[in-house]
Amino acid sequence: MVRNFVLLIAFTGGLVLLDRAIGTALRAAYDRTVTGEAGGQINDALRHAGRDIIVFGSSLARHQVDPKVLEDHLGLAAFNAGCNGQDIYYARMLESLLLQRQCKSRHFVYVLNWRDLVQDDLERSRMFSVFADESPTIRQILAPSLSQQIKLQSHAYRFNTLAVSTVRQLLVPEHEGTDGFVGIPIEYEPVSTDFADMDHDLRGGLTSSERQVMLQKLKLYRDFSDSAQRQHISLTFVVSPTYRDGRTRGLGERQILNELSKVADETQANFLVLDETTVPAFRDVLCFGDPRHLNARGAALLSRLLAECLASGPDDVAKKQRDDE
Amino acid sequence: MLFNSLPYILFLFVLCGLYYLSPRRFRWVLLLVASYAFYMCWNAFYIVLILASTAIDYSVALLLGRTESRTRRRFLLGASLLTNLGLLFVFKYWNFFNDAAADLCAALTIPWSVPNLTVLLPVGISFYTFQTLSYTIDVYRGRIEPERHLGRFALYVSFFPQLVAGPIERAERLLPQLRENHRVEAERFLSGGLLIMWGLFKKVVIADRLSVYVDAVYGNVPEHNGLTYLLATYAFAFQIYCDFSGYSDIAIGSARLLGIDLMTNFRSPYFARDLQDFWRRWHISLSTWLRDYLYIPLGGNRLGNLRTYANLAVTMLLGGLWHGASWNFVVWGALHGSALALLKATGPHRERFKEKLRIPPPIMVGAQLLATFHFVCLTWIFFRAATVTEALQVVAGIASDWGSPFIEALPLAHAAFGIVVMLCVEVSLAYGIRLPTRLRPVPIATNWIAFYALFFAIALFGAEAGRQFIYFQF
Repeated sequence: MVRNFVLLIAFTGGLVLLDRAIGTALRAAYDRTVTGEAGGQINDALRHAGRDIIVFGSSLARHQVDPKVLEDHLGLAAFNAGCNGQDIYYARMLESLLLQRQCKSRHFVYVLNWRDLVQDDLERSRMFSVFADESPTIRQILAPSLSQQIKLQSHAYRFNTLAVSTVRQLLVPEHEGTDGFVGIPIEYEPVSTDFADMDHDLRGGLTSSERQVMLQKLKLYRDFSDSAQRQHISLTFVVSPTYRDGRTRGLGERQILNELSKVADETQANFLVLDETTVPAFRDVLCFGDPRHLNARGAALLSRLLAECLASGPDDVAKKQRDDE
Repeated sequence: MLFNSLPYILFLFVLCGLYYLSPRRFRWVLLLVASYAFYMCWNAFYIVLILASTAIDYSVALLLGRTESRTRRRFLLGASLLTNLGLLFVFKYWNFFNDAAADLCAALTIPWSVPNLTVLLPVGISFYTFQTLSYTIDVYRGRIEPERHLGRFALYVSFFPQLVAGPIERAERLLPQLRENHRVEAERFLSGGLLIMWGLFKKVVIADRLSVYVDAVYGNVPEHNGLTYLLATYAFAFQIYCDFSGYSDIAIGSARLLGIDLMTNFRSPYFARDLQDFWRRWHISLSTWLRDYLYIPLGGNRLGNLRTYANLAVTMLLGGLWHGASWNFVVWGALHGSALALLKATGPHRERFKEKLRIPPPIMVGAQLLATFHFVCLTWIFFRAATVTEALQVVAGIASDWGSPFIEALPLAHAAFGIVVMLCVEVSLAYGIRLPTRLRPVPIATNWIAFYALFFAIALFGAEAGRQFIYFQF
């Protein structure tokens, strides 16, 4: 009996020691990566915590906001921390890490993707498990249940799915530029199938389950905004353009944007609509890489308008847009 | 509560503690309550079906034990078969046969307006129905005595590790173990724990990773080309094997922690040298069930060649239909049945041909493995595709339309790592490769190292989102 008990203790002790050793080794490797959507981009963003302007969001941010244009217009250092396929979960957790690291930013910009408000896929942001010990916000988001909290106790588990990509990024880093912006070079030749799913995009409004997801996500947007305001960082939500080929916004999209603008109002954030409805130039197909993303040319225009807004305040830009029209 | 979830591991951990701490005569109560609770986590209402099945077969077996009259015994067996298969038919096959009848009547311009049922398929109904049927048939045949303890019989029907997806246990094997008093044995804990980890490894590192790719291809068949179909079909072959054998390993390991040995359900099936060999290695509890309770009663191979082929075809066809109420499974079963019959019919000719060719044995064995594996893969297309039409589209695509394949690099890389590890283990098990004695560490250290390796492989490479096991739907 005593022997069994000793063996059990030794076995558990060995497991814990190995877990810590593997976790530490992987963390050391992970901290050296600065590329890759599976985590290196977070390190890259954290290295640029001193930039005056940090841009958050999904591919809509990454491909559409050029920090160099912002820098040229504003004389402020900017960094694009957008990450393809990510949403407010990613932005909120990254923001919490940035703010903990004495972030010196004066402006946060969040490029909105209204579709994210009705899709709940936390798994995509699971790479923040690595930082579980560094931020209560991350633990709160990633481990709402007891079983997740138990899993996160394992330092090896925090690198679930990340080990392969970490090694890959160390050996063969992807080239991603120096300021996070990746412009889409290709000219867009629209085909009818591009619009097939767009035609079904929440045209009939939101279902009750979509509304539930939206309410949860709106809370994260509110938290994101509040946290920035508490650090005296101004926040601007940006609605970017879509190439619709004459189609109008669906009811669901309008409802979501309306809710987002209310969050911006409540939290004293700016809500800037720089899309095809306010900027006629964005109705031109030559600005697009695909229906949802501007190409490099469109991105330069969007970035310039955004810079003007940050320089003069959103009301002035909105007025200018109206004048242009 | 899925086997591949932390709540299940905690459930098992707590149950083991309570099991060995509780008085021996009450242990069956604890296991029965745990088994019912486990099932009710999925759907509380459908426990009624298990209770009904338990009550019927318990009563029928007792009555069978009391009567010698051949007519009464047949009547009692018929009543059990009718009730159990009736429940299975209503919940699993009603809509399928109703739709088929409606299609047939429409073709013959006969009016047909029987409504379909809108009921959820009870998890594990095919498994526990076959398990209780085997009990009643064995009592009818006089192979076993009826179980007089209702609680133990109820536990035999509902024992949680194998309730929802097998192995389909025989009463003569499981019931005596439920009567025994089990003591805490370190070796059992270690081997049971290792088996659970091995099953989890196959499920979350291989099957769940491959499912991402397989679902992307088979979920959108028209968008892909032949090479992609081929890769997805290979991927599915490993996915379904690792999913189901992983489940079985976790089930066997969980039972072992409680002192109970369940039967082996898989024995490296992709190392089979022909289809008959495959069925001796794949889902052994079902294939032996079909052999003992369907193929042999139909006459087996005792009534001449033609009848043997027909019996094989019928057995496999019904085996296919057992998996699901869909034409895909019918075709899948028919393909296996026809191939088994063909192999049986051509056996002597093939042997003579092999002798004439004089191919070195290792090459011959390799060719046989490859041929069997590829035939099985071909049939998996019908198993996985949503419809027979889609399956035919996949087959036609593989035969003609090759282009650049669609690849999901990250999940496939994780799965490839898992498959290599699994194949190494299976090759060593199948071909008895052992480390030289002097290189072997002490057994306890070997087991610990294996456990640690599996634990960290699961932690680092396993798919996070707990996906359901494929065989839950059957």
